[in-house]
Amino acid sequence: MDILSLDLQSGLDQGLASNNASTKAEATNLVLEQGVSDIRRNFFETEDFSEHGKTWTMLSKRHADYVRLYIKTSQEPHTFDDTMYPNSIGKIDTVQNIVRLESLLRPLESYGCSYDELKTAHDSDDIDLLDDFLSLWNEDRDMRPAFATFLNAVSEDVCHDDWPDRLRDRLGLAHYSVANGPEPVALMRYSVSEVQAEATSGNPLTMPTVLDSDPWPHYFPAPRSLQYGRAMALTPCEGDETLVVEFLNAKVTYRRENLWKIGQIVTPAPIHEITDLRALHLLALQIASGDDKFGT
Amino acid sequence: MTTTAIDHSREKHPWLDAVKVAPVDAVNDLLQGYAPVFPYTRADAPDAAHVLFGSLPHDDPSLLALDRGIIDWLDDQRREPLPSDPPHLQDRIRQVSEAFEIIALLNLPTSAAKLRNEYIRWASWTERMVLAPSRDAQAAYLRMLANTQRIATSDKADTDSLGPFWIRICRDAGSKYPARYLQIGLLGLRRLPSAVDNGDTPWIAGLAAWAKEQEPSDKAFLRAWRPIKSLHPMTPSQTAKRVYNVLSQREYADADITPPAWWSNDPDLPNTQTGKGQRNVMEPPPPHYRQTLLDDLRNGARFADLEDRLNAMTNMYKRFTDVTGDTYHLKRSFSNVGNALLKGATEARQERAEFAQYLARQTLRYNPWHEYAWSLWRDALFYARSFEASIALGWEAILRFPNDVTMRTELAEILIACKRTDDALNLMEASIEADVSNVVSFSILSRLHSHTGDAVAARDAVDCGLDIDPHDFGLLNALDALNNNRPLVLVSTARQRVIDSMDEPSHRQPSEIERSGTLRGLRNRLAKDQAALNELKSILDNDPTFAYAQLLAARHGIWESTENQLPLFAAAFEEALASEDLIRLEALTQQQPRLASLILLARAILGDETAATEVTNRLRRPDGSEDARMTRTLRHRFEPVLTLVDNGLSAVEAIGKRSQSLRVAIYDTNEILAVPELMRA
Repeated sequence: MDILSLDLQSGLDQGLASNNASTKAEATNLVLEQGVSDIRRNFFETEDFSEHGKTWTMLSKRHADYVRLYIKTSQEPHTFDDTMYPNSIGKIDTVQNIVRLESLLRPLESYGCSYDELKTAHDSDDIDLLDDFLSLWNEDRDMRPAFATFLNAVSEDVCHDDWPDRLRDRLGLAHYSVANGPEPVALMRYSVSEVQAEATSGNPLTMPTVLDSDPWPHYFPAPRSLQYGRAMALTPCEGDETLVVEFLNAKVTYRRENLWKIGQIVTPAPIHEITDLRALHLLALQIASGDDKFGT
Repeated sequence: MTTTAIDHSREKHPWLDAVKVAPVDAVNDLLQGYAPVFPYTRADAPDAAHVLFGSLPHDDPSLLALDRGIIDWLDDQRREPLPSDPPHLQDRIRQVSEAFEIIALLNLPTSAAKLRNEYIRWASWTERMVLAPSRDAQAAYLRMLANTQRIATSDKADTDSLGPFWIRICRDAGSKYPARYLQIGLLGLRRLPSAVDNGDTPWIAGLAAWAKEQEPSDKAFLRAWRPIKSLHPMTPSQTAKRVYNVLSQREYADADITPPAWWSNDPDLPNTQTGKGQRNVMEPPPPHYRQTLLDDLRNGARFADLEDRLNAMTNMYKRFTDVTGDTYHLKRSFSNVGNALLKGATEARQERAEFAQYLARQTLRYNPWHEYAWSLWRDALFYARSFEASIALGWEAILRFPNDVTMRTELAEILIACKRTDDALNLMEASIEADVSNVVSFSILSRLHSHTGDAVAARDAVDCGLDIDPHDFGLLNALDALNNNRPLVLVSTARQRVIDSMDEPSHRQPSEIERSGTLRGLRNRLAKDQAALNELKSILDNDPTFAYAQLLAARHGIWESTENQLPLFAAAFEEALASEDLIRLEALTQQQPRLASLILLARAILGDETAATEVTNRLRRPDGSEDARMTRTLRHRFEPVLTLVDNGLSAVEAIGKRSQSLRVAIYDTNEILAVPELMRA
C-alpha cells in the first residue's frame, strides 16, 4: 500500500525503523499490502475521523481508530462496501463449506449459561435452548467481517479431539489464551451460498487486507495473485503446502445447523519470536505465489 | 535462526503496571484498541481484560486500579455529549457497553456497586444509547446489573432487592422495553442470590408477568419457557407446583387466569388441576408474626430488641412475593409496620425512620403506585429529619396521586413544620380551588391565615370547613379560639415533636429526590424568571445527563437534541411539544405506544381534530387502554373538557378552551413518566 500522505509516511518510516519486532511487523504490513483500493487508501489517509500525525504512534492509533469506526461496526463495514472497491476473491463455488472459530466466552456470559450446559444442549440437540442462545448471540454480533477458512483446508485438524487447539494454532489466533482457564469455542460451519444469501453488497467474501483488522504482527498480507489470504500460524511454517487459506465473509445469521462443534482450548498458545515466524511465512508466500520479489 | 517457544501464559503482563499508574488512561487505551497488550491486541477489550486480569487475586493492585479506572472512565463518558456522526456514535456505544461487560466478567465490586447505587443516573444515560441490538448500552448495563447482584451490595443492602425490578422488565418486554429484554429480565431473576442459594424459581413469576401483559402466542410462550426449563431442570410435579404457586395468587385470579394457563401447552406438566383445599400452593407468612410485632411496637418495645424480627419478617414477605408475584400481603404488612415504627417513637428515632423508609421503598419496588408506601416514605424522611427530601417526595407523591386529599394536607403540615408557610398556603389554596380538599384542608388554611394575622380569612376558612362538617371538633375549637381573639396553633403536635427532638438534621450529599425537589421548586418560575432559567442552565452544565433538568430545559427551549443524538424520550417529547411539531409527536407514538394518550393529548392541544376526538373517547372509557395508569392520571384533569363537550362544544374547541391547564397536566404526567425509577432506586 503506497502511503501518499507525507505525515503518515513519516510515521510509517519510524515504524519500519523500529527495534521493536511487533512494531516493525505492523509497519511492514502496511507496506506489503496490495489489496487496498485507492479510494479506500485515500479515505484512510485523508478523512477527518482521527488525528493526523507524523509519528508511528499516531499512525498506529489512526489505524486502530479506522478499524473501530469503519470495520468493527454496526453498519456495513468498508470491507464489503461496494463504494470502497472491496478486495474481491472473484468467482467461487457456492456449495463449499466455510468454517470459523468463534469464542463463546462472552455469549455464554450474556446468555447466562455455562459451557457445560451449552455443550449438553448441543450434544442432546436441545433445539429450544440452542435456538434461544443463537438468537441472542446473533443480536449481539455486529457487522464486522469474519475471518474464516474453507472446511477442506482444515478437515484433518477438525477430526482430532484437540481440534480447538489445533485450529487456534494453524489459524494464528494468538489472542485465544488459557491464562484464565480453558477458552470455550465453537466451530461454525456454513456455506458460501449462505453468506451470499444474506449479502447486502456485491462482495460479501473478500481477501483480507491490512485495514480489515487492528494493527497486528500475526497478520501477514498475501500477494493479490493468490486470490485468498494465508493465515500465519503460531508455529513456524514448514512449507507453502501447510499455509491455510483465509478470507473474510460478511455476517451470517447463525442457525442451529451452523453450530457444528463446541469445545475448549486448553493449552497455552505457542509463542515464537515474531521475526522468525514472519520470515518463514514470507518464504512460503513467495513459493506459493511464484513471486520471489514479494516482501523484499 | 531461532524458533524457540516462549511460554508467557503464567506471567503478569507488563501493561498491568500501566494500569496502576494511570487507571483511567489505561482503560481508555484498552477500549480504543491502543493498549500494548500483545498478544491480545486483536481481541475485543472484554476478552483481553478477561485474559489479563481474570486470574488475579481480588486484592491485586492492578485489578483494584482497573476497578477504579473503569468507573471513573464511565463517569467521564457520562459527562460528554454523544457524538452526532453515526460511526463515532456506534463506536462510543460499543465502548461503553464493553466497559459494562468487563465489570461483569471480572466481578469488579466498586464499579458494580456504584452503578447499582446510582441507578437513576446510569439508567437514564444508557437509555439514550440504544442504536441497534448490537449497539445497546442499556441492555449491556442491565445485564451487568443482573450478573453482579451478589457483589454489588453493601453490608446493609439487600442482595435480592432487584427482584421486583426484573419482574417489571419481564412484564414490559415487548412494550416499554424491546422484546429481547425478556431474556435480560429472566437473567436477572435467575441470578438473584436467593434463587441461587435457596432454589427458588422467581423466573416463573417473571414469565407469568410477561405473558399476562404481552399476551404471547402459545408458541412464543413455549419458546421462552423451554430454554429456562432446560437450564433449571425440575421434576414435572415440582414445576407444576411452582406454576400453581404463582398463578393461584390474587393478581392472576382477579384477571381470571386459571392455572396452569400458559403452561398448559407444555406436555411435560402433569395434567392435574388444583382444587380448593389442596395444600400445594405457597402460603403467605403467618399473620401472627406481623401482629405480634405490631403489638410490641405499640407497647413501646425497644427497636434494638425488635430488629432481628423486623428483618426476618421483611425477608419472609419478600421471599413469598418473589416466588408468587403476589404483592398484597407485603404491601399491607410493610405499611402497617412502617407506620407503627414512626408513631410515638421515643427512642432510636433515626433507626426507626430508616427502617420505615426501607419498608416503604421495598413496597414501591413491587408496586410503584402504592399510595400508603409513598406517604410512609415521605413521613419516614421527615422523622429522620431529612426535611428537604421529605418535601421533595411529598410533591412527587401529589403529582402521582393528584386526587388524594391527604397527600396534600400532610405535605402542607410538613411545609408548615419546616417554616415554609407560603408554600403551604399556596398548596392549600390550590387544592381547594381544584376541589381536592376536605375539612382538614380548611383547618390548615385557617391556621395559616391566623399565622399571618389575617383573622378574617382565618374565620372564613373555618366557616367553609364547618359547612362541610358542622361537628368537626378541630374546627369548632378553632372557631372558639378566633372568637376569643386567640391565635391558632400553627404547627401540628406530631410534627412539632420531631422538630423539637435533639437529633441534628442529616448532612450529606443531596439525593436524587432532593435534586429533583430543587428543580421542582424552580419549575413554576422558569417561564417568567431569568434567574431561574440561569439556575437551570447551571444545573445542566454541572450534570448534562440529569434527566429531569434536560426535560425542563427542552420545555423552555434551552436544550435541543441533534438528529443523531439519542435523547431521552421525555425530553424529545417536550421539545416536540414546545416546537409544535406534529410530525415528530406522531413519530414518538410509534416509539412508545404505551404513552399514546399523552401524545394524543399533546397533538389535540396543538389543534389536531382527530387526536382531540380520539383522546376524548379514550379518557371517557374505563381502564381498558394500554396506558391505563397514565389515563387515570390525566382523567381527573380532563373532566372540565368532558363537561364542555357534553354541553355542545366539539372536542377540539373544548380542549382549546382548557389548553393552558391541560398543558400543565401534560407536563406533570411527562415528568412522572420521565424518571419512573426515581422513587424506587
